[in-house]
Amino acid sequence: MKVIICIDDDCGMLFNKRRQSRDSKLIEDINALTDKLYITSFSEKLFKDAKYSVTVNDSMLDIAGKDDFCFVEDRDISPYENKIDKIIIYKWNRRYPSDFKFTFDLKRAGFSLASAYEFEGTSHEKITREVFEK
Amino acid sequence: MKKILALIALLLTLCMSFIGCDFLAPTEESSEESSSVINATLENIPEYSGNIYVTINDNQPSFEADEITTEAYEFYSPLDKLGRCGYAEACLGTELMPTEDRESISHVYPTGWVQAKYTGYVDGGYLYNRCHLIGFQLAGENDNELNLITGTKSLNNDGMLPFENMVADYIKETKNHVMYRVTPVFEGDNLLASGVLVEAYSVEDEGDGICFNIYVYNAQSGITIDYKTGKSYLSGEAPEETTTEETTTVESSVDANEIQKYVLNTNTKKFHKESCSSATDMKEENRSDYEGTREALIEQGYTPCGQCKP
Repeated sequence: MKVIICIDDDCGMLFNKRRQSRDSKLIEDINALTDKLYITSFSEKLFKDAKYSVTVNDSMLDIAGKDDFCFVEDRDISPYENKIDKIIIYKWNRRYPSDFKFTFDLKRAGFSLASAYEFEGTSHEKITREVFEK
Repeated sequence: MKKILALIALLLTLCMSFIGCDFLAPTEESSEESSSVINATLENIPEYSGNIYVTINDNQPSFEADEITTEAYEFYSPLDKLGRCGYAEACLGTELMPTEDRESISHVYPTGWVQAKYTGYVDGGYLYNRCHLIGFQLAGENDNELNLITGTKSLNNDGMLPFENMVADYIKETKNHVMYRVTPVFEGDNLLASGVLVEAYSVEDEGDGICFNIYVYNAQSGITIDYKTGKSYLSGEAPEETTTEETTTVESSVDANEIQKYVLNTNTKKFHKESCSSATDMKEENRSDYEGTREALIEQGYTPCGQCKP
């Protein structure tokens, strides 16, 4: 299973049950990565214009197969560590408030950085996409 | 009028809770996933304990239905008889965002401005910043004295700035509007605010994108502050290299708001002194020469080099 997340400089993901930020260029980048994506109902609005198969399922991390991509905003991926073979992290390169953070220990779980790519977003000067693989 | 009465009531409530030292334990955690964010109510804001902000009323702001609008505006209270700022309120949108770089604001002296330097204790050394109530990146107000208070580095950079970043990027991305109000809280005749209440609510999506209500402490770890005057001193025993300049004025110190020359690394988002070896060795495509204030760079998301400490 491949997991996609977004974090700020403090590894934050959410504040007050809301995503820290959004960027349409980032969504375009995800769209270019896969033609089949799992999301939860929390992320539905971000992908309402997607031209490909987006499956909304709040149990996506339980049902996704080996080659499926899951966009994760509002939950901890640690319980699924053994199912995950790739983690794509988008960094906002900004400091936002957060009360829900990405605490997954990539190194301990055997992940290492495979590639990194930077691009300019619609509302962010620089977004970094880092791909970690086992 | 209703809005003004509500704010007076809010300030009275805050003052009563401070004056009465009625600091109670926080009511609950705002999230099961975090133990670092504390939730409180206006009546029982806990004493500062290292977390620079607490959430208020489960993050629900107190804007009334009849004041929520999609028409951009900004309002700044007149200074009171002691020269202190009152609340600042705006309906923020792309219409109000700055189109030019920020200029120096070092000629403004908000109440309680008694600058002091704590090398090794405060990032950059200097305790105080001139803090915009409504951040420059949100409304483009440069040196409006009705919008500037004396605030600690921590209040400015750790407390208010991340929230301003979140609101600014939301507006840029969605082109929506955000109701935004910042209320400085002064106890009695104190010249230095104890903290600021910051409320925000995104209008077009009815708070789905932005919704918070926080109280940011005007505090700095390791430093004890006299809020009556703005003077400060180290909470513990000061090491020999620490210099405390309680009466140093802005004119005689290199200040975060003075115009300086810096070298920016646009890749790492660090800024350096021109003489720094990292600036000399920097790749040309990542280098940008900059002349402006340190504070403006930090507001743009840059952090000072740990080696040359610009």
